[in-house]
Amino acid sequence: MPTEGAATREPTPHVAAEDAREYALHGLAMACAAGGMAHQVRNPLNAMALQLALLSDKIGTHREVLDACAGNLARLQDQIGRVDEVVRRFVEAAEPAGGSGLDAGRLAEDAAALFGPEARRRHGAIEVRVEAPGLRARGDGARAGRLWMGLVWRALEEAGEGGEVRLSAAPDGAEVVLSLEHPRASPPRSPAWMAEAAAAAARALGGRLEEKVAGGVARVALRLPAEAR
Amino acid sequence: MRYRLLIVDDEADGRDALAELAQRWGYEVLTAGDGTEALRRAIEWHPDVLLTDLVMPNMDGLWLLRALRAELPDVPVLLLTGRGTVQTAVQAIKEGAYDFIEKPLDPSRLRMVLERALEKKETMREVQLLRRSLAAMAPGTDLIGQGPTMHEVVELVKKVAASNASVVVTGESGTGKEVVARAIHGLSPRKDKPFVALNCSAIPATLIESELFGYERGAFTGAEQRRLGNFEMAHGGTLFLDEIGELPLEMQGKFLRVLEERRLRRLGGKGEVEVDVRVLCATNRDLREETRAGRFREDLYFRLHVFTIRLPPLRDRKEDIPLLVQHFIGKFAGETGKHVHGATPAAMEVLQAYGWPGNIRELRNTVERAMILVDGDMIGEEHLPPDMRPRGGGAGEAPLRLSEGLRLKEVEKQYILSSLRRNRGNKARTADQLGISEKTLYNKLHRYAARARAQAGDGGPDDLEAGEDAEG
Repeated sequence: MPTEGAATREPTPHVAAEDAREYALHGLAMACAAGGMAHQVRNPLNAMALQLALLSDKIGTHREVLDACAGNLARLQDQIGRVDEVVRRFVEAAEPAGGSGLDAGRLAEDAAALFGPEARRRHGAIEVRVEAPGLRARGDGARAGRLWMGLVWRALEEAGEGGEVRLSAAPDGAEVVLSLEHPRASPPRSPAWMAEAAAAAARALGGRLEEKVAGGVARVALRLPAEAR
Repeated sequence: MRYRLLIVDDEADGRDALAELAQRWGYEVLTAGDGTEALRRAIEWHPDVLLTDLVMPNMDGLWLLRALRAELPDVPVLLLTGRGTVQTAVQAIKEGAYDFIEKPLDPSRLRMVLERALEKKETMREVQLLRRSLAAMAPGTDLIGQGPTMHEVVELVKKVAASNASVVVTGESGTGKEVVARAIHGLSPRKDKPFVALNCSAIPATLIESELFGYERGAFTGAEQRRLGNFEMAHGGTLFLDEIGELPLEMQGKFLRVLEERRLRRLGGKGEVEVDVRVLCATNRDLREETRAGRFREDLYFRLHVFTIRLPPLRDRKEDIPLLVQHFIGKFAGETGKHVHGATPAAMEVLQAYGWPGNIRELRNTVERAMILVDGDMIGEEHLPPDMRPRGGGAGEAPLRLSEGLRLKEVEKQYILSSLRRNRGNKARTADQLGISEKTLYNKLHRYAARARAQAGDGGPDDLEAGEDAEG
């Protein structure tokens, strides 16, 4: 729970508690739509990748042409990979995979990549630091993924115009800690029910949510039990 | 050889690009836009590997996979998807998919996966062939055959092997008399001792005594050192005398004495040597008739005929021809390094329709010849000697072999598919030969695909039995 800013909080205009169910419904729909989007994007991407392979194969018989085009072909291949990675990140964020456990570092990096452009549009930034790659937490991966993306979105909202958000994933004893650090106005821009909902979700995952505010900077830590190595 | 790849995807752009790429890799490619079309093509065309999208209209990739497991269980299926989840991948593998690959495809990885799928298929096929050969082979012997006549032979071989009794194996030339003799030896308590074979017709009458009993140094001009005869070399084991009917009459008495007394005297020798030899003989003559004609000693005849095993000519055990062909293909594939997997149905029909006057030996030589000529993975009619092929109608006129107890509809299906294969997928020609319209043929092929789909659990909209007689 917040330790600073006891003043009455005003709900952000677009997510009032009474609207939360409507947003939840919309979120479920968007998760499903993301799957459809992935299908629609990856099919043309697939055709492009295959056409590119064909092109490489065809010009491969002409050594000079191949040498001249090799860089272009490789960059096109990279671009296909880049679009595919964006799609993967978005789909996994919109509808995190179920099953047991999650890769905390990948979750942090995915969030930074997905919210980065929006942060820059707001003249701010999102930085990410992963201390131990392959760091895995126990519990419902889908629920943890939803909670984390919600927390990052809230951090971005609270950071406001020009605000910087720092994300990190690190081990801490028997726990995995996904952390956020960002400017927080007083009173905060996000409504109190969000913090309560996040804390309840963290408890349901067998972990806890710590929120501290000092000097206008909020430090939020989602502590989840680590997977046994 | 070119492997056959069936690509199934409702996305034409990706499908066509993949088809072109796979062709450049050396595959023979067919495409289909949905599962229903794919199943029909798979049944007609028998691809070596199938690559299918997961999400498609009508019948999706998983349904297709299930239908194929029922209809073409040995075809590896690779599933493609634009949105892979661990759960879907696990389900696909559980359903029998070879692999699960996400779009956009990495062509080099896809190529490797295809090659591995084909390698696995080849390995599975080889294992199946080996198992089939082993199952067809009497344990501990090289006797191949599953038909009733060979079954009787194998049972008799097993029974006589344990004893020390003489056995005469009769049968036409090339039926495998020596193989039977080796089987008896291999199953007998003497199996770790020598097996010595001598063809009496191949040895001049003047030399046969020294071949059988050996000689001492100086026994005759040129006998510079002692030489053991076949009897002594087989001591403790088995002596197999092929073409025993060719043994000169004067030698028959000496031979009988050795059998009775278990002692022999080498040519030019002073003392006798004890021998413990089991004698097996073979002949393609009627020894009883030879005895009546005075060309074979009656006492030797009775001494040898404790047991008689009659080997049937190959024309009387045609059910064993596919097994024998497969056995020889395996043998010569090892020797030639060629990856030949079998004979086409048309070639097998020719082989089974032929009379085989030279019996298994002729079949062996025919397969060896075909293995030299073949470039692909299957022996075809064109690799068989021209005089073996029936004149005029070709192999197509050979009868279709069907198992007993089939339902009439299944007989029809097998006959139609066999005709289609013989005509290399040409539906117009097949329909013409079958005396039905092309539309009826299409309807029937469509129904086979629908049935396979229903067996895979689709349920399907088709009432499979309804409209059976309403074909065009």
